[in-house]
Amino acid sequence: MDRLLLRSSPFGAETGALPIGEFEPGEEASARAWDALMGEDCKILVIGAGGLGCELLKDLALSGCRDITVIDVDTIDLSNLNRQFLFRMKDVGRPKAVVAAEFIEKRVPGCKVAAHHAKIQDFDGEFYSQFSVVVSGLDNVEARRWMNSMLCSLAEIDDDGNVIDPDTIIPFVDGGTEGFKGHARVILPRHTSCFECSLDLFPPQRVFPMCTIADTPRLPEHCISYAHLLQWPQAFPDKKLDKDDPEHMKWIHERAQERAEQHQIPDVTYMLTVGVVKNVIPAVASTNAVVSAACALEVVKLVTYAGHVLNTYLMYNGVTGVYGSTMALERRADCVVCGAPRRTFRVPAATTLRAFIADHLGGAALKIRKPSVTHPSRVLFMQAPPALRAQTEPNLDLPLSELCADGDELTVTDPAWGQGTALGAVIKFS
Amino acid sequence: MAAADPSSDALNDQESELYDRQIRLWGVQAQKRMSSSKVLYAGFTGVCAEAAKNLVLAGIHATIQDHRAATYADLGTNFFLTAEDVGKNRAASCQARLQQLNNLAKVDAEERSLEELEDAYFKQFTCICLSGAPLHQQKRIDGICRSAGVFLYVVESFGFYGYLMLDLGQGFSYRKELGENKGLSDPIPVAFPSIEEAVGAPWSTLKNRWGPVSKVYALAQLMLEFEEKHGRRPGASDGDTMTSVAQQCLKRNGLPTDFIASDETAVLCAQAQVEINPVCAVLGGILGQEVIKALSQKGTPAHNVFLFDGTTSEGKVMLTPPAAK
Repeated sequence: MDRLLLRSSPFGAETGALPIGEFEPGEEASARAWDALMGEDCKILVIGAGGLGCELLKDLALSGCRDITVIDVDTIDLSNLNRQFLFRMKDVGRPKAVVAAEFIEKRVPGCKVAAHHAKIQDFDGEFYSQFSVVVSGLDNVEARRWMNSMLCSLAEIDDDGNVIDPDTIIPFVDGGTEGFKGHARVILPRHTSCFECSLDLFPPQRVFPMCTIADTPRLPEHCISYAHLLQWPQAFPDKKLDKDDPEHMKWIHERAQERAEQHQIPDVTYMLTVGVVKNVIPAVASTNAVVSAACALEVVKLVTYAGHVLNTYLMYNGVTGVYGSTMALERRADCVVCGAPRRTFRVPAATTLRAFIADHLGGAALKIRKPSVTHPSRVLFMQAPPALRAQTEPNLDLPLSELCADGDELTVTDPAWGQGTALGAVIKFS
Repeated sequence: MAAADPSSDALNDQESELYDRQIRLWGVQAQKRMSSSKVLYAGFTGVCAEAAKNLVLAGIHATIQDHRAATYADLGTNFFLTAEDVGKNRAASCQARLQQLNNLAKVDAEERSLEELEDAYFKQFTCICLSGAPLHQQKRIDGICRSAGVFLYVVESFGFYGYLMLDLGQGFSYRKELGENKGLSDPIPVAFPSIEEAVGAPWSTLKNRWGPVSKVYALAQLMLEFEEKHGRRPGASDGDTMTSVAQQCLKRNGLPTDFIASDETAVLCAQAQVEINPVCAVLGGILGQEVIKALSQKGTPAHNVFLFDGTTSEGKVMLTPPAAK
């Protein structure tokens, strides 16, 4: 690593398009960069200790990071072992974060890994503000959104939205994989496109329309969904389906096969049944290796300024033989999380709160599904806790004109944003 | 633990469970082919260690070959080495830990050097990943591979750069996925040039409509050229020698002598013997994926060179010699 940082960079003193810092090669810089990676001030947070997380922990520890924290809510399953190589057969059932930390600390003396068997939502802003860089290997959009909202909220800004203290900007490196495909991206809160800015990039989750499942199945998946979503609740109204119970899954498989035979649909295998019901994502070591390494490389560059930082998004497709394109995602000026937390909504005064929530807050525009709404003077609707929800539920059917005045600003929160972000919804009656 | 039985149609229970997530990607037949394949990792560098991890996890048998002793520098890129192994043979030291990743894939170690190994040795493998070997050895082993139908992957990780040259032979073919639930295409043939033909193509002919040949390619070739002349890869103090090697090479290849500046050759010298882990991991992942595609015969192979620039995180596939017009 020393020799690498001693070289003179062909890029001179720049670090590329993203405003990270300057790098001047030479012994002093090498020592500084080395210290940067290995020193006390460099605290890296790795989110997820699964396919990407194991690789990330290995890459960062071998690259010289000494202080790593890892969070993962899962325990180890046999099917993880084809790629999550910090785990062995004997570890099945134990928490991923804990086992991963043990392995790394043993293999890389001097590297400390603090493990948390928990959800990211279990921690607050004070916890997250201690880290130099956050890198994630998550398996769902919701968690990424929450983390993004948290980190964007930590960047201190003035009333005009300008960053006051650059030290409060915590870079967020995000990796994701599915089968042979994956991505890596760098988010600099308040500077680059944030995760919320690019929500449109993600195709909707693969759900089958109920009418197809119920009336006109064509694919084996439709038959399986029918058995899972319709037949089981009918046959066992009091028993919840246990996706890990082979007896339950066998029942679903048999029902699905019967239905498939009726409609002359082939290939309803047990493996497919499990895959559909559990929403299994195929996974293999090589994809995870590429994406997590790309992420680790960015972390190293962010901390040491030793090269251009990825600007800002990289796509990998292992099927077509092409490594992938890098492109700079654009920041959205109207992004609720990192740009414009206030929006004006022009609505007829008679619009009910329920309709306002469904049409303007849910849906394609903001993509939040469980919003709570408050007025400066009182709570209008709260999703939780149950007592408050029951109390505010009647408000849903009232017209907005009875709940607020023209020009009032309502505050909208949602679990997708966590504590970090709230939308100021200015209501104007049309 | 018993390995896959190639004669039966199904995988045993243990394999089905362990390989569940990957079988959903490439199917049982491909898994059986992989579970009965043998890969030789000749030169157990950081990048080969990464590729070996990926492929042993997937169930592919491995032989790791290296005559060299492990050094302290190796500890930063080779996950299978610990401080106690420094000074001991690199292959022997890694064998047990690599084996631990998957009991269903057999892992052997070979301590003899490439020069000591006779031609017949290489023919027992399905494919060979060759790293850290001089160009004349690359050509020798390529000749053996082509005659025996063995796939060859020459892979180098140096500083922020990565280089992978494939030779899957004259008669290689693959199938493409035709879209959801539509199955696979008919076999598509793609002939690979030999390593000799590939590196022999003048660099001035390797331009395309977006620009001249990639600098990463040129730098890799300069590194190998230096080694052929001086018996070792360049080090930090070889700046001047490398500059003159570069000038000769550029001239011979029809490129202007300022195509590579002297500070770039200085960078090359500083980096040629350095591997950094994230670059090894990217390249090892790509290499793993290429081997999986070749063994499962599904998916377009890189044809025939893949280059990685870790400073920009860009990867690129190029063909040398260029396609006939």
